[in-house]
Amino acid sequence: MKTGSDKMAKLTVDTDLVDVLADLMEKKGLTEVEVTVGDQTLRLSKGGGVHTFAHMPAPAPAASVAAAPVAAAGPADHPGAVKSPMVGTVYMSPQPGNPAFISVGDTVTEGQTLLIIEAMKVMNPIPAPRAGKVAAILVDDAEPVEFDQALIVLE
Amino acid sequence: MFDKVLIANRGEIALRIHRACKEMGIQTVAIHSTADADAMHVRLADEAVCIGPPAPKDSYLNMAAILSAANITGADAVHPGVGFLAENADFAEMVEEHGHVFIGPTPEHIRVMGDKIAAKDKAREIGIPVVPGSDGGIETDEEAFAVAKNVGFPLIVKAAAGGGGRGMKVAENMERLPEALSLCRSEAKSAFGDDAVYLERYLGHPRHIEVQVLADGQGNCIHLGERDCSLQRRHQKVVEEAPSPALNATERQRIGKVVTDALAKMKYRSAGTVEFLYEDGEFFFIEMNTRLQVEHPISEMICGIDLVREQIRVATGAPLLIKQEDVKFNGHAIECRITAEDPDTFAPSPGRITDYHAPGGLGVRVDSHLYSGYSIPPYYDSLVSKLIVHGNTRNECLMRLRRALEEYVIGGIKTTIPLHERIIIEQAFINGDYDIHWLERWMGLK
Repeated sequence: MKTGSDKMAKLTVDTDLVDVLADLMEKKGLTEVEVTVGDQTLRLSKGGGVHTFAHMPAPAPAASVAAAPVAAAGPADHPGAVKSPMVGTVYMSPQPGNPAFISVGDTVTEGQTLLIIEAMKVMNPIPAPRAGKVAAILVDDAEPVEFDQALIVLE
Repeated sequence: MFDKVLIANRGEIALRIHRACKEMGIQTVAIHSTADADAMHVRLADEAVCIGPPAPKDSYLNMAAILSAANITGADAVHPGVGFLAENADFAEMVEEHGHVFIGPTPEHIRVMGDKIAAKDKAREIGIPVVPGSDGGIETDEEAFAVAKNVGFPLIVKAAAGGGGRGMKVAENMERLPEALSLCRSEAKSAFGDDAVYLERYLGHPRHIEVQVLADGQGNCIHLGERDCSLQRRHQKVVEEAPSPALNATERQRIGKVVTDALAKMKYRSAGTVEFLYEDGEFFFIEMNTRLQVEHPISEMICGIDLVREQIRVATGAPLLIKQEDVKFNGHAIECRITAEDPDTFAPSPGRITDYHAPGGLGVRVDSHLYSGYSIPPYYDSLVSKLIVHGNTRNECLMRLRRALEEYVIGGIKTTIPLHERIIIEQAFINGDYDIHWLERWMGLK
């Protein structure tokens, strides 16, 4: 799921980096330097000032960076990933203040409630599709989730 | 003004809505099926929520999932786009019950115009001329025969719950009438879940002329002129133009006034289109679409008004600022609906777009979600692009359209671009001398 904060990450100007790059340009007689870290790019050009911007999701095949709407890459592709069957809000315990349904390391049986997804004021318990051990919990309490989003990894 | 709008649709219309929102400083939420994760508007939207697997009933028609997405993203309003839930009165009601604004008409107006029999009654009641036919639904063959005696043949049997060109059967004479009735009933039952049918006179050589309206729910209603959508294949529009080559200014003003007076009286809200069959100088109401239409861009081009922007504005409760005397018609516009189909057989051609080059230049507008590398999913309708051209005169438009079609490159799939190139050089099209049967007859001859 893409949220507002993914799309345009806060633009922070790393002034130390700017100083280092400016010195480098002077020493080496460069007119333009561009540095990319993650989805932020810093470009200095002589006479052109300092520019910081985030990559726009360009419509290029395969190598596109920013707009992939998948949660965590590794765990979500795990064969044991339990995916959300609906859109809603995850709750890790039956009631606020109660202990969570499961913790990492727990062994669960088929049909055991792993967590709840609330959609339109209806609480939907999400059962374990098979017995197994909880290897990872990929969502937090009260986090909004989308269809097919990986919630838990069961081994 | 809204802070955040959820776009409850896909494809080029979702991109259209996203663009209007962005130009108003509104944040967008794109909802999509797993098959549409790489759609252009999903990539561009501020937020995206996957709501289900590819099948429309589990995604774009899944009201609970869409409402849940509106809830978790905190959207102020929902724009339903075209098709899917756009004319679903229950959905409109539920959106409002859950504290969001539905960008469109009231559920009551959607309901009345969605039932084609009730819509016709309503039209008659508010003073819009209708096609002669049965007074409401037909239950028995005997009732049908009685209507036929009054109205004459040929007759067309139509599904009350139909629309968009579906659920219709023609009966040329009394012998054919029972069969047409039962065929239409069973088709209607399976397509719309409702076998109620009604009868109308079948017009021999009508044009399909529709009037675009915009209203604010407070008694103000304007029209943005008419569109001629007579070029249809199996009741689906292929090419549309505005204004209609068949109408003069007097007729345009007259039908515009009839429509806006009627809709102002019923306090209609948002955009809508009143569709007519026009024959020998007479207009006959067939249906009203209580939503934005696919071909809305040609009206935008001749009036210079952004229809989606105005829909959003009136949805906030603001009155319409534009008065009828402010609406100025300038030049001519034509739209070609380009689909991912074989131009001769119409076999669907989904697949991956390789080269993509859209035409440009003065007076050329392309409303499309395509991009190089995009894979068209096979689960949805085949409309991939709308090529719209505007010119100061109809002739300029024709030349520009020919030029633009020549430039357009969509590689990797088959499209109907070659079909459009053939249509626009036909004398009948050049003369503007065609009716709703022309395209199918011409294609039958090819």
